[in-house]
Amino acid sequence: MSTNAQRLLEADLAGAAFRAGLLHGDWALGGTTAEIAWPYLFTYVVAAPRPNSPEQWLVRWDATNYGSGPITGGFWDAQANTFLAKEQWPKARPGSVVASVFKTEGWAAPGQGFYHPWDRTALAGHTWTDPVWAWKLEVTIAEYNAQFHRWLTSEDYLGQ
Amino acid sequence: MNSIELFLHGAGRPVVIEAQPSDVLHDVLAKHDALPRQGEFVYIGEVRHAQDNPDPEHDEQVPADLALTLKDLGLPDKRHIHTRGPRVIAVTVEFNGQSPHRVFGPHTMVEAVLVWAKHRLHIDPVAGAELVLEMVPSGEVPRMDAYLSDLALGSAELTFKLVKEVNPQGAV
Repeated sequence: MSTNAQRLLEADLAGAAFRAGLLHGDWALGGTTAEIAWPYLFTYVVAAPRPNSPEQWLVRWDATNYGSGPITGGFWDAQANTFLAKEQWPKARPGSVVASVFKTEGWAAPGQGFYHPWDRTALAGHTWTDPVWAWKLEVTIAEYNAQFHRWLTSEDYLGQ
Repeated sequence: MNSIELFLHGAGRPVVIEAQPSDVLHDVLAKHDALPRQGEFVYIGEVRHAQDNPDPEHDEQVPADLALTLKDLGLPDKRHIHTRGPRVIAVTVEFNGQSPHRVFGPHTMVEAVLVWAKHRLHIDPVAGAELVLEMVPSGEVPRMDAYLSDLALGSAELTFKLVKEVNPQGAV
């Protein structure tokens, strides 16, 4: 039987916000909704062209507690079936928000999560005080992918 | 003929609907209780004028003819229907004591407003990469792919502040 979190995720994957981004070519779902091996799902987030860098980044999301709190995720190596090696994570202009979110050193889950208040691994032990940027119920899987697409197409994104 | 997946904006939260290309727009809107009322208009697709050519002060847009079929309106490609919107949305962006103003079609994405605002304020795209639009007075930061029609909620005016995105913990 599906949990509430699974049902909420399935509804959001079928919703306008996620489907529109998918049809717009901003991201793609790895496989079909029926193939999701709960609590993990994969999306390919399209990035701006950069030399020697992928056109899209594979993210594995851990959607545990989806809909009631932040999820987590990490860039994924499909061939090795594990998190992408830290040195292969996206690079960004030092000091930028993009560099901060994708940093792979100096916090609780380097290379296995995103340093941002929408990632539950980043919430532990931190005080993320600004409500403007905090996770809220309206932050669905579409918002995660839209935000990542924006960061990966930002002028601050430098490639792999 | 196969049905097409469409996105209906303006009648509550955006929703996915299906229709046949041969369907008449009026009938599709009626089926979903989304017909425009007095003084409201319907737009199709996405307007990118301000992004592609940010100099003009307004968009040249004509509302959709409800008597046409979805195919004739280009919806198999354009996909988005914006109903119950104002004729135009007047947008003001506040930044460093300046407040440029422009009139947009309701089917404009936030990304286009951001590009226009940076152009009008002479902000270098690289130097201004972290600037995003924050809604006034809610303080919410909308998605780049959000449509003005979804943010305005029937209003003909929107005000944003251009603010620097932060990762609020602050430490890098």
